[in-house]
Amino acid sequence: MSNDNLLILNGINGASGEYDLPPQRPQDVARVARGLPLDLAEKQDIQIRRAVDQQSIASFGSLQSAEHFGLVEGKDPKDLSQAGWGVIFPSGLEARQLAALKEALQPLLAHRQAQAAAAVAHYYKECSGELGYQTGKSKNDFLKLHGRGPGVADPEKLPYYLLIAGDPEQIPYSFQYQLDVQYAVGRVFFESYEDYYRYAVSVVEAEKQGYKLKKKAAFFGAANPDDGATQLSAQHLIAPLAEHIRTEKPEWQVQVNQAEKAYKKDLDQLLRSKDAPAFLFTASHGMAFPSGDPRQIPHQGALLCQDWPGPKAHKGRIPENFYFTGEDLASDANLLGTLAFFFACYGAGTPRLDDFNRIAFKDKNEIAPRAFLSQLPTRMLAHPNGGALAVVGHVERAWGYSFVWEGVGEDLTTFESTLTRLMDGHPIGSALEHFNSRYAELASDLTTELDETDEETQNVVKIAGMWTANHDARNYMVIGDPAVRMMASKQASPPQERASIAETLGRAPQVSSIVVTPAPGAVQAASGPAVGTMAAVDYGLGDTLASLRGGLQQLGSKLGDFLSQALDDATSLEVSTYVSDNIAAVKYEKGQFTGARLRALTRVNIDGDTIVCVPEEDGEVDIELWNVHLQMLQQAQASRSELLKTAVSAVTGLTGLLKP
Amino acid sequence: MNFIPPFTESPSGLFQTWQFQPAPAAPGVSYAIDAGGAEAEAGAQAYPVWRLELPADPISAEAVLSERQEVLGASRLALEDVPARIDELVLHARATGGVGLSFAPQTAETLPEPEADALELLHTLELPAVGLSFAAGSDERRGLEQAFDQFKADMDDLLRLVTHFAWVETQQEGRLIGRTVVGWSGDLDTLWQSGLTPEERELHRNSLRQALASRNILLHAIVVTVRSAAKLAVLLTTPGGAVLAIPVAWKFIKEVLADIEKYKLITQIPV
Repeated sequence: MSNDNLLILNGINGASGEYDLPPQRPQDVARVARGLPLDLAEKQDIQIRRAVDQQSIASFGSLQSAEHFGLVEGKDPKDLSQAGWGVIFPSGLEARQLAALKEALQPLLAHRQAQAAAAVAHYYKECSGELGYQTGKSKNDFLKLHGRGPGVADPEKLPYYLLIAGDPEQIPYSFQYQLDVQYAVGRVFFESYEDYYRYAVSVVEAEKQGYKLKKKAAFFGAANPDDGATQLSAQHLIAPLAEHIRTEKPEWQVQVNQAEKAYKKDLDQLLRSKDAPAFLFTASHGMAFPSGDPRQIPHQGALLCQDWPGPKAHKGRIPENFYFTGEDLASDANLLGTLAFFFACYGAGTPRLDDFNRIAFKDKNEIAPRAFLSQLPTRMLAHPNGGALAVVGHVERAWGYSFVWEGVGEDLTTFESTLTRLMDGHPIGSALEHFNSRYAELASDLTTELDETDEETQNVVKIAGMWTANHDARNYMVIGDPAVRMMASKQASPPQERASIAETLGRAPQVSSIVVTPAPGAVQAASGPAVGTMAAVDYGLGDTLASLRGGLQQLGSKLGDFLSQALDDATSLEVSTYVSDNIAAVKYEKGQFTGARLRALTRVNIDGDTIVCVPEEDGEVDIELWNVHLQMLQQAQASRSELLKTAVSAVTGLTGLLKP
Repeated sequence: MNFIPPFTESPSGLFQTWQFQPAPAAPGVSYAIDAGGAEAEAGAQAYPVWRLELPADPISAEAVLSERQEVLGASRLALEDVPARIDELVLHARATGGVGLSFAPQTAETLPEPEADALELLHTLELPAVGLSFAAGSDERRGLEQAFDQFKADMDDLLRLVTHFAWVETQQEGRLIGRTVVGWSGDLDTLWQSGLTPEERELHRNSLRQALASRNILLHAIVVTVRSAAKLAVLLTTPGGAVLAIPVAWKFIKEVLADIEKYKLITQIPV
């Protein structure tokens, strides 16, 4: 089979340096498709969505001309007072947790309420408690709580724009995927209430101050040597998409950072610049790690840059300086008003179980200890100087089939239309309806194809392509408020520079009760010292946590020092053998036994030089003692190697666990 | 001269054969020169000693070593099995309502002791969020605090074990036959009683091999603990869950290893 028939994914395993999932044969993917468990409700959703889309095509001539997509007829998705806005909280939150979360989000909630409830009060809705998301419930169960079944969004019952406030363990990705078919959905989850607050303030500041950023769009695409996936995305996604914007939106300044201009330092420069783009689009591999790897939570989904010399030139562990993660975001950056789109595996997040293996091989392959959001987008949103408005990214693996179609070649219509819609002022959730429509179409086509054929007659390549494109479209999601929109200036008004939100944060009376208070579901504690400020939620474990954290840091630090010195000392290994007639009387001083006979000594240097003193007895080599000495030498070598290896794992694990 | 002063008891059963004793302050006897710059701490720190007492009969002595070797192997296997057991535990907890308010104590009774204890501790970790009755000083909190204190004490011992030089001694019927000083970076200085048979030398060599292996297993237990804590943290809504779950995971691992003793795989456990 030639490589052309393999499906290539955008993910690199950081631990092994190999592709996260090896290129797949279409037969295998088709097997996944045949096992695709679409339940009745999902089919119904997709059919309704398809019917609406087809009606739009009949009415407007093309899907691209249709304005409403998932929203009920006659409502303008650009106007929140017509479309409505709501927020969904996990129903299982304690009252104090919910109160703290709402307090942290208060600036945004009040802002959206003013917009959405301007004409009709209930077009603004907070779904919490019994009306929130209940663990284990489906999208349709949730809609039922609000008096709705499947179908287009009607703000009379439930707003079109819906912000999920919770982590994917509390409110699963599957719920978001399905809700997103008809509604415009986004998600926020941060490790601390402070970060929620920063994000809320950033959005409100950007919108209230009417930020008019320079119309600058940056396209950042790695094209790593010998790597089919990024060569493909560079040539068929980044370059033509940038060209499309240049042509269709000439008022926009388009910057392309590709291949040799797509190193990690280039992305750092783009994001830290005072002139950071109003819109950033990236295409690259996303980093993946084995479940439980210390780097998984902080680095999974990080963007692998041009620094990676490709699979042939680099073998083994991918070092941190090849990829850009949340930790690399400069402290002096200011992303207020920026929107971003990451095309990369795990760019938005990671589920706990692997869809591909689960469906293909009925194997509950756990790819992470828990579902989580990637850190780069969440840190962008909660940046202390000013957070980005939203990041669109991919949950799980991203597939090349979303922009290159079998028998057609490059097909960017969905991407182009989404960007055009965004630049025309649609909120991000509405702009992404093209992806939702594509998902509905592909799922519907796939269901039909599978219903009307059997294994004997199926075209496995065709089905594989449909399945991958279907999942690819489904798994795009908005991290952030789905109602945010491009903050670029109109031609008439001069662009504005970003101001820092730090001053606003400092003015806010609520801050003192929000700072360093971790959010519900947070696995890692807030980065600051956890003292005295747990006003909103007092778990009573603050001191214990701080003490434990301190102890673990000390352990990691001492082990690290040990390792560092051991590695310095590892340039030689010395084994000595002594004999004494009265062993109990022998002292050990200054690194040697005194009062005993040194019978054999071996020092092995790292450069291969070896010093050997051989034991003799009456002028003859004491063979028996020499053999024992050699055995001890082998034992020392094996033991040192094993100990250092284990110590490295321990230090890495502790460091990963303690990283803020 | 009594070369080795009396042992101070290690606080943890996990370190049974490893004991920690203060470095003697006698003039001219410096134990710390070889410890990579730790000389200044010699008076203050206890150093790890592995002392093995074997019977005089060579066959019986070999049998003791063989049993210990089996335990080391069983301990290694048990550690490898821990992640899977933790996975099962998480699934079980989720299926029975998590570790929060809905956790039913009777569920824990059907579980093996390490799992049941871990669930109880996780449950306690979640309790402070739901009511004042679980304030500091309550029984629930005391169990948790004990687990935390034990973890810290064990970590101190483990650090000494890894970052300090160690002594490995083999005695046969009270007669010292071999002593090895294991430098902290892996150098070995071995002192043999003269006139030993090859079989007697092999006894000390085996003892040394087991001591080194047990040290590595203990360090590996840290790696497994960190991974297990990350898995257990999914059950917690408490802030800092992964860090707080570390002592829970550590206790779980200690109990798993202690189970080997309960099942009488050998008479004494070196790890």
